[in-house]
Amino acid sequence: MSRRSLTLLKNLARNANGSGIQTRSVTYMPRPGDGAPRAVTLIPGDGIGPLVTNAVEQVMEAMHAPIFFEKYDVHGEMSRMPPEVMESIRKNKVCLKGGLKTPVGGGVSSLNVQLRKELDLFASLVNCFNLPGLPTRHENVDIVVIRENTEGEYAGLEHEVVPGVVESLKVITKFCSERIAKYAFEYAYLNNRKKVTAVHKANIMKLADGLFLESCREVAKKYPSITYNEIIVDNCCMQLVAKPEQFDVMVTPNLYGNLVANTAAGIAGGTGVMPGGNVGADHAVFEQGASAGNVGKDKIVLENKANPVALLLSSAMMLRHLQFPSFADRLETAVKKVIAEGKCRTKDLGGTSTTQEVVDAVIAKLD
Amino acid sequence: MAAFLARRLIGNRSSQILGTSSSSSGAFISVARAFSSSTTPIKATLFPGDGIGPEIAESVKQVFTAADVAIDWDEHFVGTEVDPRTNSFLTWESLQSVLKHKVGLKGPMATPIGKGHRSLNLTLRKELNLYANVRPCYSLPGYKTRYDDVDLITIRENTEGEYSGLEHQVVKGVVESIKIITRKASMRVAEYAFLYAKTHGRKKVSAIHKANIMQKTDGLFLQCCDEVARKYPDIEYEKVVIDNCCMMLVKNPALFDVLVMPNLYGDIISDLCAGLVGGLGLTPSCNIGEDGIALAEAVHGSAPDIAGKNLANPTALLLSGVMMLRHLKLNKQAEQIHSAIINTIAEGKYRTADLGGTSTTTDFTKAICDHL
Repeated sequence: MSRRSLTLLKNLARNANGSGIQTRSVTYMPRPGDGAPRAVTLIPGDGIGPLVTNAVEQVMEAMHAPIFFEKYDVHGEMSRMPPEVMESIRKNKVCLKGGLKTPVGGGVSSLNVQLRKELDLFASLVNCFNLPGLPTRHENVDIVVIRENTEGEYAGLEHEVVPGVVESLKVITKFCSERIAKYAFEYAYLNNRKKVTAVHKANIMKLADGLFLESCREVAKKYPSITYNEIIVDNCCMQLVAKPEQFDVMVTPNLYGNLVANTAAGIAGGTGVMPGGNVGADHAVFEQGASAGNVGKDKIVLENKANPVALLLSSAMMLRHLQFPSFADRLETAVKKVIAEGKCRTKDLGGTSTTQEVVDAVIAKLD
Repeated sequence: MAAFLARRLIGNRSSQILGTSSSSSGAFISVARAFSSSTTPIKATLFPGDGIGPEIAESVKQVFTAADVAIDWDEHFVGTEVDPRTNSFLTWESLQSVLKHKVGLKGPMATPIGKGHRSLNLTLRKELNLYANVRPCYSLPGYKTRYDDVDLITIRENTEGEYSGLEHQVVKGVVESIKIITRKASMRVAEYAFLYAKTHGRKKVSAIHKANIMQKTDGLFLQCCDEVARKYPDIEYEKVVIDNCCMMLVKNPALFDVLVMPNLYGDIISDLCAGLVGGLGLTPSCNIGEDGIALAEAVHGSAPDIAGKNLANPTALLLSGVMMLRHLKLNKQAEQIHSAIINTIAEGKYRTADLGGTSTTTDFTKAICDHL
């Protein structure tokens, strides 16, 4: 109790100094027993994965967050996710993961996609926003891209018709489109967002994207307080580059979502800092928001210069998901302060620090 | 593309000579075009289009006349009723004209809404077999956007891929759309991309794909690009996954030079690049077809709300016209007109409303003519 009031006083004092970073001042009343540690499956993955998940582990330790990790070693070349990993995720319901490298054209279906399909994680969420203190070309960016995660172009149904002619099927169903639209509007409603934009290419793919749009329109009618509009994907990318402030929440089918999320992440600061996660009805997997380039360059792994910020912010999202909002806030505040200060930044943000230095800075700023 | 023309006119034996060095091919091309030099004007089809189309087409004609470009325009307009021979509003005569002249310039066309006929762009694309869409995007000095160092070319496969239009409803609530990639089309566009890079002195070609997920389709596209890349060892070649490409484009567009990609990705990336340099109102584009057909077009809309008011910006159509001239190997005049346009915009005295100025179309055109 006294620890909390000390924290509050410290925060008030800090605010008086004009740090400009918001801290909570409303008391959070937990249920008895909420402090019992929760198990979370941890998959370090390939490339920069082990580095950044290690960073998260260290910070969680330092914060005394009531979670413990069950680590499993999975690599992208495996043809299937090992059954014990799936067991663990089904039991714990929450997983934190680094990237799994998908070999290009290698005949191995992506493990990331497999995981999403098996656990039916139908919504992928990426939150792209300007971090104070990080200079980018675009200001006032605060976009959440909600992307349908199970069907669309990534259905994986391809075959060679005759030698030299290959077909790939894009499947859109009303069921999946409806539930992603519902999730998007619900998210907007619960997070006080004003506008939902549906991204599509229905002028060319009339039936497929037309079905997606129909579902969005139906759901939009049930949320009259939220503005709804539609935009064609190529125009959308152009507008993102020119005027990103017009977008708020965007709901998209699978492929466009991938592109839009990466573009939005790029204009707001890069993949190194954008949090995100995949959520389904029963499970949630948190990972780096926009994983362009798969798992990072090998050079970064060797020099330990991977940016842990994205996964740290994703783990803050995970803490909120697990109903530990105060820990989430402390973590986020610390990370934002480190970025705002600008002294400890990895290479992709224009600095020269290593992963460990950023982690130490975050731990130092935790209060 | 000029090699196609020469080969067609002179015959197969010359292709061996052409293959050795580009300088000798230059000689052959000028021979090929000699019959249509300053004495006889080259005939080209012009589709002014709708909305602001006629005004900006007028602008192009004025600038070309002022620059002494010997082109005889064959104007065709979109009809008001569906022509049964083409199943669209574009008449058979218009299509024959482009097939005969081999070059054309197209303004914005508004596709009338309705069923039972093909869209105008689709008609042109299918009938003329326009397989590659080339869009150079470079920062215009004098028009400041958030990106100053953009200088890239997007080459997009234009006939197949996700836009094949093959969709059907399997059962109620389940729709399938088929994406087709063929070796023939991928080889064609890859060959064109590398040839373009070579003839325009570009150093790097990047193939954009999503072959980690769509392994067979984009895998085939990549295979074709790989094969063609081996024939051009002095051009750097890389493969970039599309989401990584989007990220890199918005962070650092200077990393890219020539981009070659299948249909859907090309659509999105080329519009993204247009956004980087200032929008569709300033972007030229050229569609390349078999047998050396080139149809340059302005990709912006017909802007019916400012039609007839002398406010339209003719830059996109003018720059497309410059691309057309380069295709015809009239490089000197192309360079002249190009510099005139760049200088006029850089000066900043005459700018149309969409660039933040107050000039009219005619003033802007006159300023360009003065700069020649």
